[in-house]
Order: sequence, then C-alpha cells, then structure tokens
Amino acid sequence: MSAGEDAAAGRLLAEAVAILDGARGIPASQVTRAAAFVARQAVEDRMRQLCSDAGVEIPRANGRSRLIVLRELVDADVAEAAHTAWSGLSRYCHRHAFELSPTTDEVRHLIRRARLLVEPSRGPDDRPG
Amino acid sequence: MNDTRGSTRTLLTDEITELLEADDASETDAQYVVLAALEGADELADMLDNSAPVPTTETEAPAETDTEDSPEPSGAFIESVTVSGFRGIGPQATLPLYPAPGLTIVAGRNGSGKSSFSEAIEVALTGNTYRWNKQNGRKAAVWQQHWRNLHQAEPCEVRIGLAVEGQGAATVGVTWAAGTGDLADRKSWFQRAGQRQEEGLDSLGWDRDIERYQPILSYDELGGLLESEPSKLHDKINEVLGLEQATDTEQLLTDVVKRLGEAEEARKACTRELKKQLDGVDDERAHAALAQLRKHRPDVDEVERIATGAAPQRGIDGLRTLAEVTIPADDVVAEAVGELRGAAGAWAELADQAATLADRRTTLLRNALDVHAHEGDIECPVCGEGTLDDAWRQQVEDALEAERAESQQRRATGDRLERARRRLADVVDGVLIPATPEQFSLSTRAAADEAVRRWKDLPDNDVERASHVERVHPELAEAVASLRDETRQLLAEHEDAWASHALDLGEWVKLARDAAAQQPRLERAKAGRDAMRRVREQLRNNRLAALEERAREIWAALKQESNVELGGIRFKGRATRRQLELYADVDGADAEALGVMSQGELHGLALALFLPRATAPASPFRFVVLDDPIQAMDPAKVDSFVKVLAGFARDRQVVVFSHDDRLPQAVRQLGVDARIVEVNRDSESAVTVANCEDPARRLLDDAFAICKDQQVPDEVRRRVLPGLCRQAVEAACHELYLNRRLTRGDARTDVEDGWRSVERTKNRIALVVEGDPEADISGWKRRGPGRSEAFGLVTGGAHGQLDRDPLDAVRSVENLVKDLRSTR
Repeated sequence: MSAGEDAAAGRLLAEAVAILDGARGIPASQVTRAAAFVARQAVEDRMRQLCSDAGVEIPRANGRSRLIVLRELVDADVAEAAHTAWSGLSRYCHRHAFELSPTTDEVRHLIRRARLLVEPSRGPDDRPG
Repeated sequence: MNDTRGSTRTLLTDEITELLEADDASETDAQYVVLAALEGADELADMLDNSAPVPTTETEAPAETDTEDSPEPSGAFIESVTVSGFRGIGPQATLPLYPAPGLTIVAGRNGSGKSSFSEAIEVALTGNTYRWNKQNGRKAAVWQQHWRNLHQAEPCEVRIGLAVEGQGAATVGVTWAAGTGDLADRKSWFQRAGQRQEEGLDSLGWDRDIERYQPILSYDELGGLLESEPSKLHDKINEVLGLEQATDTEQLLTDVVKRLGEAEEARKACTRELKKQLDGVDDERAHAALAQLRKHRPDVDEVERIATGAAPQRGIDGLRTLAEVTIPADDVVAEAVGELRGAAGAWAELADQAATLADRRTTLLRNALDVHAHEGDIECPVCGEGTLDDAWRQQVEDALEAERAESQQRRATGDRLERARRRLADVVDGVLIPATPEQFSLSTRAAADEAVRRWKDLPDNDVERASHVERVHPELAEAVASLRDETRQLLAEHEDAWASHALDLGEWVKLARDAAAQQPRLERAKAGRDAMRRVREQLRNNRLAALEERAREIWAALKQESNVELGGIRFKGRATRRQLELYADVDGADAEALGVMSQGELHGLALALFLPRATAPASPFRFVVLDDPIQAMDPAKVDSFVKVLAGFARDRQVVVFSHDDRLPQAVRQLGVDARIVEVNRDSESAVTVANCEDPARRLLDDAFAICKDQQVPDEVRRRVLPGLCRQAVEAACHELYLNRRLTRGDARTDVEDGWRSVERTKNRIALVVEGDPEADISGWKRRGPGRSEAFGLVTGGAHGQLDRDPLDAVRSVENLVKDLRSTR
C-alpha cells in the first residue's frame, strides 16, 4: 500500500469537506456538487490504489470494473463501502431527470462513507470536518 | 382591508335579501328578523324586543349598501420573504418575489431550506402552520421542538414584505425573543411603509380570511384535507363558498332561539321535577297544583295563588279556623253568672202576689178617678159608703203616685232578670266549634264535643243555671284548649311540609312567567331562523354549482389519463353528521370519489377543490403559495398542472415550492412565462436563492465565477470545474432531449425513462446530436473549434484535474453548449 496515495485521497476528502463548509469560495449554488466531484475523485484515487495493491493495473477501466475487482480480489466490505460512496457521489456528477442539486447533508453522508474506504482505521462515527 | 370585507359582506346581504324576498315560505316578519340579524346581534335583539314593524314599503335594503364598490377586494401580494434563525435557515436569507400576478417556481431539494420559506410565510401570516398544529399528528410534536435553526438560532425572525393594492408596501413579521425556547413566545407585528409598527396582525383584519381561503397549502396538508373528518371537509368547502355571513347569521339566530328557549326549557324541567315531587304529597294544595301542572297550559296565576295560600282550600282553611276556636273568657262567664244570680235574688225579694193585687187596686182606683173626673163628686159606686170628692181624689192620686213608683221598680227588676238570663244564654250559645275538615281526624274532638253538649244542657232554674255554667266552664275551657292545641299542631305540621313545595311552586311561577314573556320573541326568532336556513341552503347550492364547475375544469386538466371524472359535489347531513360528498364517474359508473382515487389522484382532487378556494374572488390575498403540491403526482400530469398554475397566475401571484426539477422543466418546456429560483443551503444553514431559468447557463456562470475567484484554491478549481462543465453540458442535453421528444408528443414518463437509460455523458451528447446514444459523433466533435477539447473535458475530465487554462476550458464548454443547442 502506498502511503502517499492514501494521504492524497485523504487530503482530497478533507478538501471536499472544506468546500462543503463554504471555506473554498465556491458559489453557494455549486457547493454541494463541487464537493461531490472532489470527493468522488478521492474515492476513485483510492479504488485505483487498492486495485494496484491487489496486483491489478487497469488504468483505463471504468469505476464499475474496479468495483468488481475490489469485491473479487480485495475485500467484500471494502468493496461495499466503495460502492455506496462512489455510486452515490457519481449520481451528483451527472444530470438526472428532475433532480435538483444535492443538499449538504446528502453529500456529507457520502463523504463519511468515503472516509471508511480512504481511512479504514477511523471509526464510522468519526465525522469528517 | 376591513373596508373591502365590508363591501363583500354587503354584496352577500343583497343576495340574501333577494333570496328572502323570493322565499315564499317565510312571513314578512321573519324576513325582518333575518335582516336585523344580518346587521348584528344588537339589531336582532332590538328587533325581537320591539313588536313587529308594520310592513310599509318594499325597499328594505340595508342602509350601508354601496354597490359602487368593486366586487373583488383590493388584495395583497408577497414582495419578499426574509428569514433568519428559523427552521432550516440560519443566517438571514431572502426569497425575493415579484409582487404581481405571475408564476414563480421555487425549487430546492428536501432539506435545502425551501420549505422553511413556505413555513415562514405561513407562520407570519397565520400565526400557525399546519405542520406545527398538534391536531395534525405526531410530526407536529417534532416540529414544535425544532423550529429554531440549529446552527444559528438567533436572531430568530421572519419578515414578509407585502404589496397591498391601493395601500402600498407593508411588512408582516414574527420575532422570537433571544433565548426563548417556546414556540408560542413570539411577537407578531405589522407595519405599513412610513408608519409605526403595530403589534399583532389585527389591523390587517386577516385573521379569519387566512383560514377561510387558506392561500398557503402544503403537500402534507393537501393530503390531509381529503382524509380529515367528513365534517371538516364539509366546513372547509362550505367556508370558501363565501357564506360566512349567511352561516353566521343563521348561527346567531340559532343561538338566540336557543337562548330565548332556555326559559321554556327551564320551565319544562321544573315542571317535570315538580310533578315528581308533588306526586304523593298528601296535601290538597299539592293535588290542586299537580292538576294545574298536568295541564297543557297551566294557569300560572292559579298556581301562584295555590303556592301563596291565596286560593281557598277547604280542609286547610277549616283547620285554620278550628285552630283559632275560642270560648268565653273566665271574666265574661263570671260576670254573666254573677249578674244572673243578682237579678234572680232581687226578683225573689219582691212579692209576686202583692204586686199583682196592687196592680188591680191601682187599676180600680184609676177607673174611679176617671169616673170622678167625668161625674164630679158622687157616692162611691163600689162601696156606697164613701164619697168620691176632691179630698178623696187628692188622697187617691197621692197613693197612686206612690204605688206607680213601686211598680216601676218591680218591672225594672224583672227586666234586669230577663237581661241577665239572655246574657248568660248568649255566653252559653256563643260556644260553637266548627266542624273538623273531613280529611283530618282529631283525637280531642269527641271530648270537646261532649263538653259543649254538657255546657249547653242548662237547668231551668236561674240559680242552678248560673251554678251549672260556673261549674262546666273550666271543663269546657280545657277540652276546647286541648282541641285547639291538637289542631294547631296538625296545622303546623302541614304548613311545614308544604312550605318547601310552596317555594318550589313559586320558583316555577317565576320560570313560567319568564318563559311566557319570551314566547313571542322565541316564535319570531324561530321563524327568522327557519327562513335564514332556507336562504342559506339556496345560496350554498348556487355557489357550490360555481365551485363545482371550476373544480371539474382543474380536475380535467390534472387527471389527464385517469378514467375518473369528477361528478357532483354535494353537502350532506347536518350538525355533527354533516359531510361533503364527492361523486366520481368511473368509465360511466357512479362512485364515491374518495373510494376510487389513488393517492396521487386524491392530491389532484384536493388541489382541484382548494385552488378555487384559495383564489376565490372575495379573498384579500392575491397570492397562493403551494408547498410541493405534486409529490405524489403522476409525472404525466405535470404539464397540465403547470398549465393550470399558469392559468391562475394570470391574475394571481402563484408561488410553488418544488422539491424536484419536474415543475421547472415543464415550465421551461412549455414556454410558460414563469420565474424559477433554486434554493440551496450550506452546512451552516446559510441559505441562498438564485435564479434558475436556464440551468446550463447557470452552471456555466458559476464555472466562470470559480475561474475568476482568487479565493478558490487552484487545485480545487481544477478538480471542480470539469464536473461543473459536465453538468452544464448534460443540463443542456437534457433540456434539448426533453424538448424534442415532448414536442413530438411522447409521454413524459417514456421521455424520462429514455433519459435515464443513457448514463454516460458521451452517450447523452450523441443522443442529442444524432438521436442515438450509440451513434459515432467523432465527426461532429472535430467540426467546431475547441469542441474536441471541451468534449474530452466533460466526458473524462471529471475524474481528474483540469490540466488546461481554466477560463479557456470553460469558454470551450460554453461554446459546446451553444453548438448543442443549435443542433436540431
């Protein structure tokens, strides 16, 4: 496991929280989406890292393929955490029929899930930010 | 605003007057009573107190009729909603609105603070909200505890800027004192522009109208409207028919009838009670009173006489006499006895015989004097020896004079004896004991009667008689005293027993008199009430027909493909059994609407019923606020719902809060003239409101803002921008795709499914450009300058950092959106 990659993913998550807290100057109407983008990047970085640690180098594969690799080769619980965080955050990165911008609570919840993946040593109740 | 209400009231008065005149069943006097009741309780009381006026002319329209007034009162629009520290809103946030007719969609996800604005409007204008009314279930309790914002609880304030037609700007506010945790501990105020703040909303005169027209409707409430008790639905629809004055007047008359009837009710209750009480009372007065009480119309005066004892009662009166019976007193008896004894003694002393002889001699001598007077001196014709001469005459006259005196004394003695006898006889005979009334028996009576018999059994001899009376008198006195005592005791017992009954009868008399005094008023009030009831029902049917028509139109728009037609709306039952019946026509078969409708349809039906109510012409509110009215609505109905809203928006300010993007999209697609704003809330409950007519444009504007804002760290900028750009492109694609398919006539649900089935940005662009998500668009990509880079950015870049100049990148995406929009 590369400590540098983990640290990068953790930093990105912290950045997402900072955006959510309004500390990064993003326009209010885009805060939740922007935080979701950054958090998803953190999750994707971490998923890539986990695959690589498992000996699977698939730099061009999409998120869904990586999730399958994680479930089969790494750990079902890790894959589960990655799945909820990644698919939830991805939802906010596309235009969906009739959905408005997510709320801060929704994004915060997903960042909490993502943190389980990025920093597995931390308990689920440790709230980011 | 009060004056406007006055004018609508007057209009209703006119209508009621017309219907009254056409009401054949009511007498003229009943109509007068109703007209007085329409003016108020005091006027009604005056009318009932005075005898019925003589009908003079046909013109009896109320004095204050001012038909010049517009039938639609000047009304209020909402200009802004400013909230701080309340519900989901922390630092002060303002929702600006155009204070004019038009449609505004306020979009925001659940939790964005959107509903906090609608709740703020509700709280400020009604002093309440459906959501915190405990009657509406469990959720209310939670609401009550969480009305202050968790992040920034102070200041806690709501301000509603209003624009009132013809009156100018005004503000309505609610403020909670710092530190208070009590929801009810709030201050409501109202302020006209340039004037002083007034506490409370009384001067607005909206307290009743806000309930009546309910211009603020939430999804929860809409659902509850049709599920509430039948009587509540009845009342809500009944209220909107604008019949309050008619209902109030009927209620006033009903109340007055009840109040006037109270005296008669009290009399009846008292009669029942007295009948029970007197039944079995062994007293002739009770029998007499009972006989009266059992009559249909008892003689109140007679009952009063019975109660007060003024009515003759043989038994009691006889007893009373007996109780007062007396015999001659000791001194009277002693005197009479003494006198008899004295007179008898004196008489005995005079010789009876001598007196008689002397009388005869006197007669003879008078005759001789008579002879002498005629014949002169002659020889005595009796003895023949003497001579009747002057000397003889003188001697005889002297002797006779002496004898006359003796005789007079004797006669006087005789007279005295006679008087003494009579006096004693009077004393004896004067003892009379009245008969005992037959219903009573007295144990001492026989002894008294015996004493009287013996008392009157007098010996012939005067002296013995005197002794008899003297001897028997004490016995008699004792016997009679015993009788009297016994009688008095009996009488006292009876009077004691009667006294409480008499008091009760007295009370009954008072009640009966009150009731009788109210009777004419009661009759007139009843006639008035019945007339008003007929008129009100007539009025209601007329109004209901109009509402039914509007509701049917709205329902027709909302139901779209439902096979349920809205049939009639009918009021049924009275008092606690009153209800509103909604009939439905399902494929030609009649049914109870509520039973055959789905949840979504029920919401549509509630809207169909309550939108006309909220926008009733007489309402002082020119706005209607709908909080998420279509949560459960079939997506297919959104378009027609928007059309309905647009229809209302022609002369009303329609503000619709929506948790999803369906309404905004339908508005954009249909080209409905509307304003769309989006509400967002950050982690500290800072709520922002932004215009959102064009979501793609909005995203691009925000992307540009991020490029230019030096506060945004560069890494954040580079990581965030690709996502925003992708959203902008997808928003444009979505809009184009929807527009294209919906204008082709495809069903909205199919179109939504079509969009959902294409997930990746690349395919969504292909869908718009080529009409096929799998189409090869590499040619199209290369055609425009910078198009390929922009394409790469929005399809792959969102997963990493932007490696180009941010401003250039966003500009290229802006062009891409333009290009997409120019494809057909």
